[in-house]
Amino acid sequence: MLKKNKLYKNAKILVLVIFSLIALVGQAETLEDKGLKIFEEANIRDSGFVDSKSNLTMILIDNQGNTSHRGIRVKSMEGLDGDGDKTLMIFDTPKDQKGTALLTFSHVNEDNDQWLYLPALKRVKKIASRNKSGPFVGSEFSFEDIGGSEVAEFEYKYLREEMFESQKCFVVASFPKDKYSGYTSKITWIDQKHYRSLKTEFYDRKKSHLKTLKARDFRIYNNKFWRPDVLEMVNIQSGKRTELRSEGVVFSSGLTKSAFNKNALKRSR
Amino acid sequence: MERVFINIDFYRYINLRISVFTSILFGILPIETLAQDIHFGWEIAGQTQVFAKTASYGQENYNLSLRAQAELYYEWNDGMDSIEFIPWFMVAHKNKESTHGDIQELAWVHVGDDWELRSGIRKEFWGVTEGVHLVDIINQSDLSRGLDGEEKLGQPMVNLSLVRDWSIIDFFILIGHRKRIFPSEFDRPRSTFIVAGQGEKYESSQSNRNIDAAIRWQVSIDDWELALSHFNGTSREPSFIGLNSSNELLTRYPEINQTGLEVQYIAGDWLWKLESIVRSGQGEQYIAAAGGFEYTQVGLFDTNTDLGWIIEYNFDDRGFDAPHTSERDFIFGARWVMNDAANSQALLVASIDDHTGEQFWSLEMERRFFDSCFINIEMAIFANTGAAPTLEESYNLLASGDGGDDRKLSAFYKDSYLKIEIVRYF
Repeated sequence: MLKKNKLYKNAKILVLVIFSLIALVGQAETLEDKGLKIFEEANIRDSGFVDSKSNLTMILIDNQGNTSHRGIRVKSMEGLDGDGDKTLMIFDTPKDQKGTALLTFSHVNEDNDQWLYLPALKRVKKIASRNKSGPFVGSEFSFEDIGGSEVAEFEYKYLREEMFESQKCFVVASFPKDKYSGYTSKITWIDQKHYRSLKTEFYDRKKSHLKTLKARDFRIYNNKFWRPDVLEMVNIQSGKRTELRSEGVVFSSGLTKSAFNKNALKRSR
Repeated sequence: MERVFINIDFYRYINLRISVFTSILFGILPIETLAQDIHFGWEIAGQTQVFAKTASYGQENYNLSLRAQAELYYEWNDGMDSIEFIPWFMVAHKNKESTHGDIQELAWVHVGDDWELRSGIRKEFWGVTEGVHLVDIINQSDLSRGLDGEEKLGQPMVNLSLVRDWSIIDFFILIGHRKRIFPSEFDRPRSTFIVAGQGEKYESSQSNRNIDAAIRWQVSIDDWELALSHFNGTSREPSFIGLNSSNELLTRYPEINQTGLEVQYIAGDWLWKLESIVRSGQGEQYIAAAGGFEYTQVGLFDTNTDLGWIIEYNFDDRGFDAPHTSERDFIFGARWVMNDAANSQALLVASIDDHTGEQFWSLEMERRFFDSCFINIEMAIFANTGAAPTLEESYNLLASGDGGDDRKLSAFYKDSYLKIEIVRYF
């Protein structure tokens, strides 16, 4: 009896030790690690799309409510072997820009390669991709907002848990490593169920709040990939905003490498 | 029984022939889907050019012209095949000779896995520099639409393009030669002598029906863009061989070989550029080069505006004997890009001859308005050119066999202008 009792007591101690160890390990995870893990998880859930196609309408809205539209077709191909994605953007409107196309090879921790095709001159121009902070076709989106980003290009910090539009979210700050970024930080609300970025606040080089991006009307594609129908970027400082609407989104449609070279750029219509 | 079989086989054969024929026909033009895959667009442009001074050679103090361009594009076979047709026509006010049109594009493009075949009339641009386009040789220039030579005529060709991981190799068979279009008697600016529109000579016994060949190999490695090209055939640039009875310059197109090199290197906000050619067959063999940089200040004064600084130098080892104005010239430029919704941009370029001090300044400004209209304003100033020679002076100079002084812009002495173009897209 006694022996048995002792054994029971020992077991209790062991369980206690194990639990406190787990608690210790849990505490060892820093806020930085937690932030990184959330973005890594979001990235994993979004990987394997192979390629995608979509039609975008960009609506630029100024302070007086005047609008200006751009129609853009986008094709992209997921990067392989640690390299970034390849993206081709073709402009249908405004009509003076019809056929203008932008080819981007993104690289992790390295300047992207970008070529611009000007149909009137039939000229392909390699452009300096360091111009990340500049506005994309006069919109409130900058090149770095449009081009997408790799997890390794930021440092992270988990801030808190918060409800956003009745969804339980992680709130994580990310800090760009690239000194040419237009931002000092971004704060992102990521829903805990599907790891989708619902809202992002952008802080400029002076650390003041510059823009807020909200994503809405999410749809699931191929039972795996969540994409918003509408992205709305509001410039807090200027009051201008840009809406980006996606249509006809298709994943894994069998695009090949040949859709992403300088010849493809020249024949885009 | 045998006969019947033969008949059946014959029938089969005929059917096969018909089905092969129809599948080729419908493979090329699946008519049932024609309507939905056709893209059509057109544009109309009005242009006016005004001059501050009375012309040296009796032209008007203003020009008006109207240009219309259509674009028809049809693709099938999932975009692996396409046909593009771009004709344009322009009507010049009081100037019948400059009223003309062209087919800029009428070509079928077929895309394979790692190759493309492009057949028909096309426009193809080679080059990297801003000031001059030395390497660019596939298409003929239409100088009646602009002295910079950037307006081109369509060239019939077959072009096979092979794509490799880091490079693209293009082979061109260029069918026939198109003569250069020069400014007519009423156009302004123009040279003292008018260039004869007819009576051009060719070195080739095939005259303008010669078949020319070209090859270009382009490589992209990291921050480098390189291209090496070779052209063998009738020069796009004519030599002047004297005057006809109405004192117009006669042209001759020799057979040439031209090897071209294009280099572009990106280092952060710096873009370094170089173009060079070696040409033989047109006078003595010569070398010409153009190179320089464009440095961009991104987000000037914390705005969205980018300001680019351009410096280039043009060199031609024939010196003054070169039949163009950029034989020893510095190009200074500033590019102002607002990055706004209207796509407002401005480009200021000064081209200065380091020997004679002749200057050409141009300021181009453009922006969009009403979503489907575009305005382009160009101011051009010829400075320090020396007075324009009279026809008689130029004639005496030509007769004496001396090239004259080095002033090549002097004919444009009084031709500084302001040009406004408004384009409406439909």
